[in-house]
Amino acid sequence: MFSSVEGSASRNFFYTAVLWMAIGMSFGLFAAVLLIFPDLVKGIPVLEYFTFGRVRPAHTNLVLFGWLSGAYFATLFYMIPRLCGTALWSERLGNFTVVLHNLLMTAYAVTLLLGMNAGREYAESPWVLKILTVVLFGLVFFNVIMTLANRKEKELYVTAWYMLGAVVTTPIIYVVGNQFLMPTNPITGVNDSVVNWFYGHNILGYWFTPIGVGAVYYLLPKLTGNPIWSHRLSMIGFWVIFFVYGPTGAHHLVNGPVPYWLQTVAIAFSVCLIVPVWTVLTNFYGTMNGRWGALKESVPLKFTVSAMVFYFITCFQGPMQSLRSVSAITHFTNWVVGHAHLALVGTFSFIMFATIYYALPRLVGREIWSAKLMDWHFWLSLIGFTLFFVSLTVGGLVQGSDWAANQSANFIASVINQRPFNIARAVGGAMILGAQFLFIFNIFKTATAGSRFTAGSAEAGSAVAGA
Amino acid sequence: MGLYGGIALVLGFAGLLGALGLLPRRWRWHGYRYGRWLLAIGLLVLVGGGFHASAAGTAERQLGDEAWGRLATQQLLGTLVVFVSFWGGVYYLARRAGVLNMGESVKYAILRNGDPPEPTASRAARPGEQRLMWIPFAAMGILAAFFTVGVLVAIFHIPPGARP
Repeated sequence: MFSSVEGSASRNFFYTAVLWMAIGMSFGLFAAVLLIFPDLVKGIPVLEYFTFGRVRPAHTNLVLFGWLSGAYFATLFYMIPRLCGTALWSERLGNFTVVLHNLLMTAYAVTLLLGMNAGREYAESPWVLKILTVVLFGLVFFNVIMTLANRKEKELYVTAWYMLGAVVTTPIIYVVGNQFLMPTNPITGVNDSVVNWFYGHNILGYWFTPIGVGAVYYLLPKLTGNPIWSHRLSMIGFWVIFFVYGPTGAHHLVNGPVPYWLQTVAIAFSVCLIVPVWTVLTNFYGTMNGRWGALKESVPLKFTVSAMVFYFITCFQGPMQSLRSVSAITHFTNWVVGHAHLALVGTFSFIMFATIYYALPRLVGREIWSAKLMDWHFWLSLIGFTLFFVSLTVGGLVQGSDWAANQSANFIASVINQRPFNIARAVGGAMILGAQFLFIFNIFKTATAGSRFTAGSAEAGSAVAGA
Repeated sequence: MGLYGGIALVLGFAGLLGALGLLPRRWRWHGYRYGRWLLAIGLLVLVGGGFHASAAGTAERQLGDEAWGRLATQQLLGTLVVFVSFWGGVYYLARRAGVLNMGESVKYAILRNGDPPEPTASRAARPGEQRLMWIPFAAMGILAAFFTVGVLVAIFHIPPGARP
């Protein structure tokens, strides 16, 4: 029933992940439109399932778990065997997890649109689905760990370390953060918030960041022909990020009713996150040295370089907004929404676009169907996203200033002041979504009509790089 | 604490780069010689600054409760002990198992792992192309400046009474 063809699980995860991306981002655009026209679905029977309160969690869950996590599973199944010099431990199990992932995401979408919401950020789905999510992650990770255990390469490259770190820590973060998967929600009140943000921020730090950064360390040598500049520095970055990220979650609760020391620890550790970011960026610039010309011709490299810019900005913003004085202005505003998108769209989705453009031809044996569409995908995504996050960031500062200046006396004026920013955000979002439809069309045509992938010129590159 | 943290980060990272031999050639010798000292001073500033900030911190003073300060110190140390023990243990086991390579040999294998690099990897560099490196550099600088100025304007534009 499930294919055992080498590479099939990775390929299938990539295919279905891009479909969830389209669905998830469509919900996101619809939510952005609802912010401009709040009464759009009012009084229309079928559309009552598409109110902002339902569409918004459907958007976040489908892009986080349907798109990004699906693409990450594919990346794990693609890169880990190649780093280990062996095949994936079980393609059959891998393909089973593809099916489970898709069933689960369908259940996520249906339950969230029906209004079944646990009320915790990024953990809104009903507890039965959370248990199945742990099963899914567990099976994928078991496959990865067994592949690592059967490897032929004795020593592990930094990408494998980042991915192994993610595989080990993510289940712990998920189980703890989701109230130990108990249906009765034993942790309540302020403690619930602390645990929720332990999960909410660490799922970024221990799942989305390590796989994304690990993929960059894999892609950069493949796209430039240079080995990474310093493996030692990359390993220092790995150990520091895994040590430092844990206590940062409480910076979401700064100035709130949680222990002061916990806030301070979260702020201090958030500032320390600059260290691993520095290691990644130093390595990025060192590895690119002498190969910047490749940027003109390689769309995956364009996506990677843009992702590095957004990664820096995300990690510049993050420690800054964790400070009490800055948080007092930016918290609960559109600034934070912009920051989250900088990480998840500008950085990690861009890295996944680069990964798909690199890996898919090797998995299906076909060249990317249209280079021109790849370029369109890149430029529309980049311009649309820049408009999107700049409007959210400026809008967030205006919103924070309005609230601080007017306190609660004139709240509705602050809502009206957001209108131009909401329109700009929706336009940027439409450009991003349009770019993704071009991307999906290109992927579809690659799978069905792409010319045969030849590794001849690529092997020449390998020889040059080896020299 | 932010000031101490910033100074410690700059000193620590510069020291780390120096000690690892990752500075530009003309500074490399100084890096080997003084890097570890910079790193040590950075750590000292971080730890000493942390104690100073917690001793002189406004929260403890305003609350006027010494027990609160002691509790915070104990819990902070407890958090650090948990994290250092966990990751220290993982690091020790990885080293002992022989899979941890902090050196450079492992990075060359990826170029010859049977997964062919892109054709751009073999592309010969042309004169002037290196200047493309300034595009992401400028983008990072402009955006970072834009955010910083935006935040400062927002903070200083609100009435003094409402300022946090």
